[in-house]
Amino acid sequence: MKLKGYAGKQLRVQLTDAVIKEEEINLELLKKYLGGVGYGARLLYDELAPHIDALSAENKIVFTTGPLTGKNIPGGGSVEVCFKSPLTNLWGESRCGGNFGPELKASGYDFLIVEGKSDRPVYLLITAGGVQIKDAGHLLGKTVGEKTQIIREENKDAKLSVMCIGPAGENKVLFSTIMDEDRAAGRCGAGAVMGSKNLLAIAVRGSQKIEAEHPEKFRDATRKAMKAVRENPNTENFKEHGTVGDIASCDLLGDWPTQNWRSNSWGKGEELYNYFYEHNLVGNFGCYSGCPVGCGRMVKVDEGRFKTPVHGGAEYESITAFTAFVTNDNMDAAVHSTYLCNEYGIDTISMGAVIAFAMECYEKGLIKPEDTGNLDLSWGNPEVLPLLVKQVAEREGLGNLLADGVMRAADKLGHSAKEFAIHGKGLEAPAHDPRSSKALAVTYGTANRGLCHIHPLEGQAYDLGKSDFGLIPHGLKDPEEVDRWDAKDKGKMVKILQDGLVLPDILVNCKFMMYCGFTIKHFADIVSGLTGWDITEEELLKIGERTINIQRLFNVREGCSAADDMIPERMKSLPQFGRYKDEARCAIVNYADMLEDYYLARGWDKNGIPTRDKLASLNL
Amino acid sequence: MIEITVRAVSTLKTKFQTPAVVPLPEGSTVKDLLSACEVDHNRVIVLLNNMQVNINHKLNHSDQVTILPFIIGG
Ligand code: SF4
Repeated sequence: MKLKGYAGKQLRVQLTDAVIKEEEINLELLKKYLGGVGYGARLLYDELAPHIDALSAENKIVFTTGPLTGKNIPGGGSVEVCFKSPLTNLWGESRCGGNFGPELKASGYDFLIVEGKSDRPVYLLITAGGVQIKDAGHLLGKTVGEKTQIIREENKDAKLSVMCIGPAGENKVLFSTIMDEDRAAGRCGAGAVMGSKNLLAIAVRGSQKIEAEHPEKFRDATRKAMKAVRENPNTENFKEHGTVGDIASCDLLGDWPTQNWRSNSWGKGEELYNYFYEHNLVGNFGCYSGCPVGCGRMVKVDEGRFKTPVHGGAEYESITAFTAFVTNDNMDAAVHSTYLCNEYGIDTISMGAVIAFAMECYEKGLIKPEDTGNLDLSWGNPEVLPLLVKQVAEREGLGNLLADGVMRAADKLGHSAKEFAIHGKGLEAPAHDPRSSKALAVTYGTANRGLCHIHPLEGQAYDLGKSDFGLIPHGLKDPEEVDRWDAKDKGKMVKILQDGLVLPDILVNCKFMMYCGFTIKHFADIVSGLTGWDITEEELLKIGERTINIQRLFNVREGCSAADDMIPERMKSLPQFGRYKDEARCAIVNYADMLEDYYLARGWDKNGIPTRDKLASLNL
Repeated sequence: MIEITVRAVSTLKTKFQTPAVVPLPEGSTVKDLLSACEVDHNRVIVLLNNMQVNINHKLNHSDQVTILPFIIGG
């Protein structure tokens, strides 16, 4: 009997000997994990040996879809990439918006597993004509836009969906990305893993239809979810202002990490956004055809030394990284630099963070003018931003040190550098500040892929944004009754939030749909209609919990424990300047208690290791 | 009557120029202020004299209120 709601097969490409294999999906595993970062975590836990070098042929990279991947489902233009991260040496995952996920599924595969290492540059082509490993020597050194265009032209198909790395991935920059045009599988260094395998791109075009077990039920559930998204007030905000529209508010709320985390506000957010809205913004776009939200920004810089063509970019995180992180108030320079990051295939967040780190090293004399090739790394200097992006992508000069991220750079520089290398588990910190809301501190510390901007955000959205995601019936305290600066019960609440908010990454759907009205109930109804499995909200939350635990086990096996769940001291301290510098409540003084509370709720021991009983209760 | 000074962050579309002084009956809440300003209370965060307050908070004469459009998930 054909599996409904899924393509039903996985594709395994072993690059060392150029072996291509089609495999049946393990149904038992699928029912336990559903897909995405759940299925991907179980597969990598089973198939990767512990302590392998993430940039060796032994690492694998899995492109996963899920039951909610598809252009006919709100948020379904998504793919989740799973791998061992070379930046953290722990669990790595990264979502990318675009048509790639739906196309992969429509070509007959729910999962694509790439392993081994090719002895020459290649790219993969997956079409109705079959799967081919093609020579990519001519793509070496090309930017993301160039690679995408060449692949489409030489295969005479302008609609091929292409995910590729830029020069940064080829040079194994530890925070390089895999791009789908203007969208990125951005964090944790997926680009370097692909680069280490000599795999420069994957192009896919599918034509198969995914059938639902109960088409009527599925259509009805999808319609209801779509209606909820359309009517949600946040949808309009996303459309009109994108994620970047939040910089003014986050600045005012003390949620805007400034000058390498010396402060949580700067006071220039509103002025910067007003400039952006007037000069840089062209319009909005959805990262796949059919997205009902369309939070993407089309942006440009018309003239001057930062002149930049119209492109999709300028996200909240990216723009913050190139403004507040480095106290640069030249918005044109920020837009230009984030454009370069996309073209070179570099994670904008880590890139802004390594520049902020380098600027502080420069201020303190740990990096000297002669180390920079005489670049002036003073705070806020817009001129050096694009230059450093290029240097990192090519691993030239100072770029070679920075290309390994702040944790390794601080190790090499010694002295006090460690104190202001702001990262969690080796991943550079993103653009929200836990001094604005205590739950964010716990989500930051405990996220399996490190200090990332996607998983932890539910902490901030709950505490500061007062979102409940439909989780109140599942034990979540009403956020309207919760003080954002209070530590009480935050650990417990974070457990519930994480189990629910990991679901879009398991079902492979855009998480923003949950910020725009999608609830666990919508997920349960759609998945049930699609697969005929009659899944309840409770079962979904259990799958969320199981996924977080298998990822944690992956990390524990690599040596991760409570010490790795700590957040940097500076992130907990009273801001050194800005509107909150005298606001004692924003300091985080009881992080250890919140963490203990969290471990208890999770059924993990004091060292953050899942107990046998907990694992047994999750059938692990 | 009480008078409240309201400032809306630029990303919030409002029907008035800010800052504006809004007169309200005694005992009015943040929610009343938002409806007087025709702002959907589901889409904003409100700071009163720099502190975040919920919509049922009672206002006093000469309070300074900032309305922020909060894009949850940004
Ligand atoms: S909401 Fe934004 S990020 Fe999500 S699929 Fe739509 S355009 Fe992409």
